[in-house]
Amino acid sequence: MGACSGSNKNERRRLRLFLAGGIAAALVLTAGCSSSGGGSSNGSSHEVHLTYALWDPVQEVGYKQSIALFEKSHPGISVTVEQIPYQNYEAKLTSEFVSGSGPDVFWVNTPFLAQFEQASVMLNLAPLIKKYNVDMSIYRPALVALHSHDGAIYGLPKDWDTEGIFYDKAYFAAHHIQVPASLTWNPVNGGSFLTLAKEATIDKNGNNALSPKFNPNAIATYGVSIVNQPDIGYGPFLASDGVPVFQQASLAAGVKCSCYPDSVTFDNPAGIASLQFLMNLSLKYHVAPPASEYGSNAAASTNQDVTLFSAGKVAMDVEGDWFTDTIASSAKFPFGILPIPTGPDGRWSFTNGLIDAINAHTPNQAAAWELEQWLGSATSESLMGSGGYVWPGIASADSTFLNYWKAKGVDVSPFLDEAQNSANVETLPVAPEAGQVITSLSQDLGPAWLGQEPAAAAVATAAKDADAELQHPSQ
Amino acid sequence: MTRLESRAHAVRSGRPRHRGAKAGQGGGTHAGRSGFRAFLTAVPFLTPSFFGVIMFLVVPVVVLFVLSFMNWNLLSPATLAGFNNYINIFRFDDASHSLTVTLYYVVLNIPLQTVLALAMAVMLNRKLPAMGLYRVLFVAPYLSTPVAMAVIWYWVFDPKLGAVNALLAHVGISGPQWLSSNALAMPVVALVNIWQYVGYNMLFFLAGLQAIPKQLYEAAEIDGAGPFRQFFKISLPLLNSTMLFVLVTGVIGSFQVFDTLYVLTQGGPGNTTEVLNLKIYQVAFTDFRLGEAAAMSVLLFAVILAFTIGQFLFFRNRTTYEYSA
Repeated sequence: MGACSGSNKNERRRLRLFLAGGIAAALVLTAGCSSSGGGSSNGSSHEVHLTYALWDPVQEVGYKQSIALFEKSHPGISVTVEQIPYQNYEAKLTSEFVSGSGPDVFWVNTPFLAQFEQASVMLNLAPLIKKYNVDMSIYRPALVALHSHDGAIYGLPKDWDTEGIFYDKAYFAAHHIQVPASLTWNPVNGGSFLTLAKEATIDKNGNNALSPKFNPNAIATYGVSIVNQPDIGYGPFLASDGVPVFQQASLAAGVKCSCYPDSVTFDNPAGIASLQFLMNLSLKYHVAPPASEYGSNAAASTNQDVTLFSAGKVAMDVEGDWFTDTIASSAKFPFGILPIPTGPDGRWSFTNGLIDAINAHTPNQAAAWELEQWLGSATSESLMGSGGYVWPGIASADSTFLNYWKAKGVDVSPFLDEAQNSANVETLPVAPEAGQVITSLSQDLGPAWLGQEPAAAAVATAAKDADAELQHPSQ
Repeated sequence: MTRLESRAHAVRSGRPRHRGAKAGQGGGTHAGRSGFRAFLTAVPFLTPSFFGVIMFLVVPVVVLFVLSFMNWNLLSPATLAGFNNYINIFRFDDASHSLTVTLYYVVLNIPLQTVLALAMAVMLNRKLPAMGLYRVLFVAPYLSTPVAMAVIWYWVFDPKLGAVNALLAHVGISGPQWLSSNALAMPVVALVNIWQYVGYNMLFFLAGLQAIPKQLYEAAEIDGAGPFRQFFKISLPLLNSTMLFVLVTGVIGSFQVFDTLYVLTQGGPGNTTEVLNLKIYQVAFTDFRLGEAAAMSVLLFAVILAFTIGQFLFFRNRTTYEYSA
């Protein structure tokens, strides 16, 4: 290396320092600026921008059509639909609220209704409803009562749902199985429900489960699918045996709901017997696939029961009505709906409904209220019904959903029939710890579904953990 | 001392080889000031990295430690909880069970993964045709997204529709319910993870093996050592630094396993595969008990730290970084 002149080197070093400093500063500044969250209004221009969060990609299609109509009639408001998968929905929304960038209007499901209420992230719509004289009588009273608390109401009911038994019409016809109008069941001998399931379970030699030649080790198609979930699994059966899963409270309009329960109420001999019967559908009677088909706790967290049914591996599926569209597009056979069997205590169903809530801290409250009213209006709800997506929360609009599916050859009236029995309805729990309780129930009951322990032991653990969750104050 | 030996000695003791080398811009007499100037020159270059490290590593870790002493459910303001969270995670959240399950997973995962990686590296450390292709194939699982791979493995191990039980059925064996079996769920998860990372670890061992001078093996052969003795007396000791790296990173990674488990078992059946990381996620984002989740994270950190320190201590006097040839 030759001799270098000192001042030249100093100059170059200073230049390098200056460049480096400039780049560093630019990087720090740009890294510090993050894009602002959604839902902020643009003060300078006329247009208001709203974000609407939901989780069901099937219903999203219908809602986008409804919102297109809304935007046409409300030229100053534009709406972006944010679809978040259900598994992440509550967590994602919560973190958005914390950072102050939550959606303006969003779906709320019963298990997180209480948590959102406690955190005051939902706007109380009672004053607005009174001011604009919104006619609440058009909605099903049970849904309105479910989403009201201490005089506040948090949303206009947008839909309701319940469960039924989907069945493979082609399979039943091919095997000459009579489709009954209704079913009965009981934990002792299973009633006509078990008989039908046995008829529909056929082994590789063509013998059904009623035949003495039936080979349970070589089953070609199973009779029925049932999973470890309170609403689309064991809940409706237990309830119809007089055993609600959660402690029941009385709401206005003579409706019962699982609101702010202190404990679960199925840890008694009747509940254990009913659960054991349902578990035995697979373990003893071999009319249901092994519970391991539904994931590690048999909770079907990725809807394995829908997959199996659509693939023709199971002839019947105890399922929620919001899967009607999914099954219609994935099953290559005509299907029908049977009502949930009547139990020793009569006909019960698990019914739920969602609301659109308004973000309590939205900067665009007026526009959000406009959207809320629209989504709760007969026009929008009928559009959703007539697209076959959901049963509308407006009682008179039920015919839209009914007629859509009738035109497709599917009679969905059994769902409606169950909803009309509104006195015999259990809801998903409304409690701040609802999500945790449902998870812990699935985890504790799982081993019994898998046949690793008797139902009695699993129920005892499940009740102990669930009661502790319901009574352990949340943070 | 020969010149070779003195060079090796110098390298081991860390002294510069040539005296009187240019120590910096300012020369020897102004060493202090020029050192500081050199530091000043470096600062603007380091700032962006420091900013990233502080904002995305240091600050979150400090927040986590503070959070472990508070009660927070994300939506309401945080309140002080003292040491309650550390007690509650053992009383309510079954942290000891999760820790045991995690340790079980690490024991299933690391030894087998390391031995396999080493074996594969030894086998590929030769000049055979298409060796490059084999290396790519073995590393390919590491290049794939863990979640996507786990979804596929989930269906491969499905009791009714999966490939594994279908193959077993051909041989007349009725396959078990893999991911729903208490005994088999964790081994299956460990197997999937081993499959994913063994190629990656093999690369490190391969590099380590190739850095060993051939003369050592030749000398050993002249002295009459067979391939096994050569492996255990030459390859293995000289791979200690690589082994330390692979084990430390492997153990840390194993303790932090999440995505494979989340997809395959979600902690089931029951809670037999509920590792600590999965439990932290559930307590934080399903139960919204962030203080307790933070306390569990601190617990996990302490356990990993203990293991890492232990590994470093074990390897401290066994590692050779340079050797003369």
